[in-house]
Amino acid sequence: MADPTKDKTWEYDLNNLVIADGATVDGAFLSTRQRLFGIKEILINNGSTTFTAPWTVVSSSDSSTSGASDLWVDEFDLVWADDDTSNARSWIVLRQTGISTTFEVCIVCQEDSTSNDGKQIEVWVAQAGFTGGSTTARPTATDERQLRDSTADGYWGSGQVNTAYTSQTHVWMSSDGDCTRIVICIGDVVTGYWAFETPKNPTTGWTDPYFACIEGEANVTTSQVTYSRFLDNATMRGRYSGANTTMYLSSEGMVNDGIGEATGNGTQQQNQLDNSYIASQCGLSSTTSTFVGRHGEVFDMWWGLSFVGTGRYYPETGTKAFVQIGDFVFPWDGSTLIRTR
Amino acid sequence: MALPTIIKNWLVTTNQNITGDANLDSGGPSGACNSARDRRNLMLGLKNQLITGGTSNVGPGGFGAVNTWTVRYSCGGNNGGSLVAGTVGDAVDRWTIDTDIPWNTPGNAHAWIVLRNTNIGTYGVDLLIELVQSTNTYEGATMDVYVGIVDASGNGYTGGSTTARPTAQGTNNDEEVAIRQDEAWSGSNTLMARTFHWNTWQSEDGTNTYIVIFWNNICVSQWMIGVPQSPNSSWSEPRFFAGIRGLLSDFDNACFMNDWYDVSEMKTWRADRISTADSLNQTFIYLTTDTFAGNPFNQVFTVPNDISGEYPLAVIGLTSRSSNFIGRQGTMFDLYFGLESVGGPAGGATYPSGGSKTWAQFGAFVFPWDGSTPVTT
Repeated sequence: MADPTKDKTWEYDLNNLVIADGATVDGAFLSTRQRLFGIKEILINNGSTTFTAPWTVVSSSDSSTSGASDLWVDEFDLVWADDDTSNARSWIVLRQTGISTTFEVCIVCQEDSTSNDGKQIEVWVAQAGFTGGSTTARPTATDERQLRDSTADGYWGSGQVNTAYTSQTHVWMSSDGDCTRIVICIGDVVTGYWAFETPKNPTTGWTDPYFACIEGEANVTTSQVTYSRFLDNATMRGRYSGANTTMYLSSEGMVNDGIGEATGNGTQQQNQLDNSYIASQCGLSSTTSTFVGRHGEVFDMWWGLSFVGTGRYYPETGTKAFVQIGDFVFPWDGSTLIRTR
Repeated sequence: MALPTIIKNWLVTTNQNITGDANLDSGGPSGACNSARDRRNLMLGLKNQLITGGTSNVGPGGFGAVNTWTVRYSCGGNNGGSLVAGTVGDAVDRWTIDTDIPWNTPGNAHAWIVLRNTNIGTYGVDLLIELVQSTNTYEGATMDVYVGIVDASGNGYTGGSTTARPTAQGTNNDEEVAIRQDEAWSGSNTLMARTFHWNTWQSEDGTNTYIVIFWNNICVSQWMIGVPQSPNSSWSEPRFFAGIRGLLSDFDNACFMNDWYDVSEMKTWRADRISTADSLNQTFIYLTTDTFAGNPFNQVFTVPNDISGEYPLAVIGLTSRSSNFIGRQGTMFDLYFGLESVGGPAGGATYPSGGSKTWAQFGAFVFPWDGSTPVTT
């Protein structure tokens, strides 16, 4: 397909470096703290970009104090605790009114064992508002939906490695606050992918629709934005009518694979008539009971040709209005994607 | 989603049927049984439909005269006579009654016809239907169909005799696409009387023709010949697709996903393609659609949308993996994929289910419809 037209006005805070601080356990922990703290800072307009509709801090804990303010002043305010203890821990609740009036995400610095300090978190989203919380317990919400579980899948983009890595964090936010995307790259590998979004063309009757995910793994060599992760598995999460849902990101395809899948029955090559590289709009489909159906699309995000990989711009020169990272094609601001490891 | 808007004006002929003949057929060259006569009558019915248009107007309105296929020339008995092969461009339809169109093995006397459509591509295409089969035991079960390219001078298929088909243009007679070659189009070769039902769609502008044929609630054949919607602008003329699906079976449908989504049954012709598979410049196309969880949406979903209660319909794309043509190159006009679970093996569901019945589903495909109740058995 030809390069598409964007639905949203996008704002960017790209190429945010976290420099590896030595190949030590302490260095790795520092890097992960800096990485997570940096994401919070970018979202609330303390980064290099002033977003039109930034997130706001509702409440937080730095493990010493908790309350309705931003207590994450620097990375050392992020203190982890094991999930099976009542030890003090840090957490933060961020709000994005572009998705719904009180759409909030609660990030908890919690891991399944002390050796995973910084490498795991627990994350919840809710639309009814998080309440409560102390230095030893996170806030809760009546309609909370878990995105990361420190007892099962708490990795969020820093891996489970005791070596510090240099990483880049890229943040996209639509000017209306509908969509926030975060990509964490270590070299060309997308080690973390976060999304908090309103769907395009949601099914009528899906009240306050949203979908969200935080993806990461123990290793830092497996890309988190792949056909396998999102097309073959229902990785996106949401809520409908009081129940949790999961969603696939569908693609136009044939022989059971997306058009752009290089390892299956996809075209495995750019369009030979017009040299286009973008394969298909990302759709949202669910097989969750009571939520079965196609329920919309993802604003301004497309499946690319997977053989291309990270770092290809569309067009390749000039405006560079789109970039492929992993198997996704995102809006882009024309800058150069830093790919240092 | 709301029901899609029909883009083209269509002449639709619905629920046509050939009643199975219980008598033995002594008229066929092989002395075959009644099923041969049924298949001849079916073929006559389809041919007549292609050259006359349809009976119901469906579409946005402003209906005018339909641009039908026309007879370029033919080989047939011309209403009960001996087989005569016409000369190119004589425009004589020698296919009048069933005994005019015998099947036979290659090199022996058999019928064929060349139909022309000048609305496809810059100069048009010829459709050659040749009633030839590798074995005469079960007359009419298989046949050959080709689409040939018409040039600026109006030349398409030429030559032909009572024992040999016309040939295409090109130094190697290669300006054609082989759609069927000794392949089924009306069910198995089991000898029995067959009552066929069929529906045809011809766009008023003449660019697109769709046919579905049923026997005993099984879609034994689906034909789709036409131009793509929103074609890749770099797709050189003639931009067209052509495919006929049929199985030598009385139990398998020819209008499901595995017939078009899983195999590149649809074809087109590309002058710049040098085929390694055969001597033709034909190029293969898959019909694509929304896919996830390892399957097309209409196999993953077996029920309507839980929130809206609507049955999902999805655009059908045209995507190729053939050399020099790789990529998604367009979509199908006024044709959608619906849930395979709807309406039994061959379908027959309508959208909306009552009232206007603007769309009807057969197998996985949803077509514009004239409001009647579909008959498939």
